[in-house]
Amino acid sequence: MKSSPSRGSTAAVLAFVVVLVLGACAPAQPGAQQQSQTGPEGSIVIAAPQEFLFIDPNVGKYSTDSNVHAALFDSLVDLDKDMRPQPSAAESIKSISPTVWQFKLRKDIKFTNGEALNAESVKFTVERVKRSINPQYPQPHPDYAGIVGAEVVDEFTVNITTTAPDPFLLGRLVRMYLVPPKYIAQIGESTFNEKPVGSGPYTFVERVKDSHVKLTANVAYWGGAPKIKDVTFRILPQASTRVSALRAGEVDIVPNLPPDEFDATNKLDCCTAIGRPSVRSPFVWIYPESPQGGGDSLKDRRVRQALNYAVNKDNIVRFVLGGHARIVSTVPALSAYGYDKDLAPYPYDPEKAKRLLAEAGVPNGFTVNFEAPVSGITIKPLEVAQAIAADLAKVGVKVNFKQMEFAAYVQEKDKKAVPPLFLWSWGGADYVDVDPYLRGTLYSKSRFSLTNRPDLDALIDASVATVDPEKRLAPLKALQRHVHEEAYFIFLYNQEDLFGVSKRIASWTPTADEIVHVETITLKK
Amino acid sequence: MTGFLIRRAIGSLFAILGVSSVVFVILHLTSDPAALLVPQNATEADYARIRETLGLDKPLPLQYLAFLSGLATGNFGNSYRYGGPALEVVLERVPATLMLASVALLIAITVAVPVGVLSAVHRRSSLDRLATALTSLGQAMPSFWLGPVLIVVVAVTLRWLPTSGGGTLAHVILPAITLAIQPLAQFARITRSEMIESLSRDYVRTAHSKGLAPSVINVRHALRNAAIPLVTLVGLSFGTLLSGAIITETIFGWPGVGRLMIQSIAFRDFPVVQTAVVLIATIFVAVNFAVDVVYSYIDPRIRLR
Repeated sequence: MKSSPSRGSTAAVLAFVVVLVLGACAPAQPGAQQQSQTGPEGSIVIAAPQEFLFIDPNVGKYSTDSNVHAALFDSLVDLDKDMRPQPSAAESIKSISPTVWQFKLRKDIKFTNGEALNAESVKFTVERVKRSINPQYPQPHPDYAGIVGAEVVDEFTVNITTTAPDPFLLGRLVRMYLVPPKYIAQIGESTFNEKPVGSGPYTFVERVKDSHVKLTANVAYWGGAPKIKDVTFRILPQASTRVSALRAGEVDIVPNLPPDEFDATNKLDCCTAIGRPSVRSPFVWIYPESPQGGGDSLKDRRVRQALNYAVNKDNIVRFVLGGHARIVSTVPALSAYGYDKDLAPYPYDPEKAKRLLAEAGVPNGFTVNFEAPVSGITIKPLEVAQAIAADLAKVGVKVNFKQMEFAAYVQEKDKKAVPPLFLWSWGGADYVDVDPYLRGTLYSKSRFSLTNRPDLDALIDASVATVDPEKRLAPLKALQRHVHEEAYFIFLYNQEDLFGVSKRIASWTPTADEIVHVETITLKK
Repeated sequence: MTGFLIRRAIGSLFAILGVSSVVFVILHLTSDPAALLVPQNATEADYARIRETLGLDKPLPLQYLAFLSGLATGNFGNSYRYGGPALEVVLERVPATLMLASVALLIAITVAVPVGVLSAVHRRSSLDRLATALTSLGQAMPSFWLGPVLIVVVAVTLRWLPTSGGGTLAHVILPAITLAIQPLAQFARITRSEMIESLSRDYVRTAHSKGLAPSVINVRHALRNAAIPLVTLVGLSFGTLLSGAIITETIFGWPGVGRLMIQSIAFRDFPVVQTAVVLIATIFVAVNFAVDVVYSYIDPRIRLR
């Protein structure tokens, strides 16, 4: 049947419209105008509580410098959001023998001066971190002491050898930032600090000491150009000024937000507050052999356990820290590999505490010295210590409390002159495993330990007897149970790091490695 | 006159030496920087090696001799934290502090002297009473209170000025005001009381009877005599401003020597602390020396001594 002219023309118009619409929706032709794929744009300012000491990443290993290092450089491994090492500049990693790890590198990484990042760069970096570039530090950072050296297998394959089987090597390499050998040979070792060149998402623009560090985006970054063009780290040592700067719109991210400011910051129009679990845990160190005296009763395990039952950790977390902490069973952070989730923390039970004290022969309690620092890693250390002191008094343990200036406190600890009870924090941005928390504080051969127990040492040794992560879980469990039973410390909680963030920022998730990964931040349009 | 100046110069050198020696002894007897420089997982051997590298394992008298010979040759050692020469670390930050202290002093003098003179001339008027009340308030306002208040009101709420940092003239205003308030109040009160004292003197009555204009009397005769104690106070205050800047610099994130001092003390960075102390003592002593010279110009009686 012949279609009527109107239906024919309608069809034609429809077809025309459909073609037009399809044409408009079609993806742009290569070379033709792109759909809003502009380069990095915008700028952000991040507050830093302390001055940056070295832009050269191989000199010291100060965690306060890491924000800048992570932006400028790459390393073989990175930490994912669960704090597990993942390949980064290295494409694949395998342990080819208990003391040799083989890294196959990506082939597409270039330093911003054009030099390729290859096995030679890795070897050079390994040798560099084991040297003394800075006359003040004549030995490598202890993290690298266990590394023998690196060997080039082929252009993009390198082997790293350790003195003994080291299950934590990958964690240690996270901050071994890779540097360009040819460039450094050209400009000289010490100049690298003034004119750094890396392969990371950002390049160095300028540094004004005590004031700021400016970086700008590296559009050729192998991981994709970052979204934000200019990043400035501004040094603001005073917490209240950092918060004011956030409110005034002068900075976009403020770390170390005091817990008391958290709710107030969330109520503002300009900003929000975010928290994320830190890798640091405070605890009360129990030191029965203290030269200050008064610690004899603490030699009895029941007394130490009593102290653990006596402290109301929930109240401290709720009222002193505004809920920003998570109670742990011993010291390691909840994110630490091998954390025993089945081990319950000591509950609050003052009656049980009193019973244990009576069983141990001190039914009326005793008096003991207790110290806490006024500043340092622990958040609100004096308030926390006072809350603990009040709880202990309720079961008859009276404390003579003294507050200490941080450096004097560290020295007192160094000389092992600290009292039988003192507040301390442990943990570091590279602590991805249960081991360093307990080894550093309790292993008799550790410089900072105040404990000498062969049974404890044996458990720590057993947990590193193999590099196989699966096989380590059981020894790590046994170790944590022992530490928990023996109550070497009054265990508390895992802190939360709090950040004030401007609403200009569209997305950013803080990571437990204490680094602000600037390449992951995006701004709202 | 020259003898007077030479005697003062030698005295100044002894003062600087004395101050630095006291600081040296206190630092070395009470602190152990090595304990703060080793990471948590360091070994005993690492610790011993750091002490050796920094020369901290030598007996104290030997360390003191090394320090003195360093002072004499201008070698202040290397910063434990920054690694580079301590003198460089300190000198980089001195201009910022000098700028802050100078602007603060300028603000203090520019406001205090007219206020003090007017209060004295119009004694017991409501202007005088207001000024007295305000200066009492000013003397009671510590910088660690005033600073954050100014930041919140002027920078955060009104957004007239930046909250912190250094670099431009806008950045120096709030910290300079914070630093200036207490000296300003002091200067105003001293100016006022000294002016009142001068104005009651015979020579002022003589000047009046000679028919001189009040403004000439007030400035050329009364103020010039009142200026002597004021000049002393200003000189002493400059030293106080330099040290008071520590708190203000930390609050405002001003990149000066004060902030460096606080952090270096907290980290027991001996060379930097010692260098900063020597430098500030030198500036202090130099300013007082200058005050003495100005003094002898204003007051001929001193010249003749």
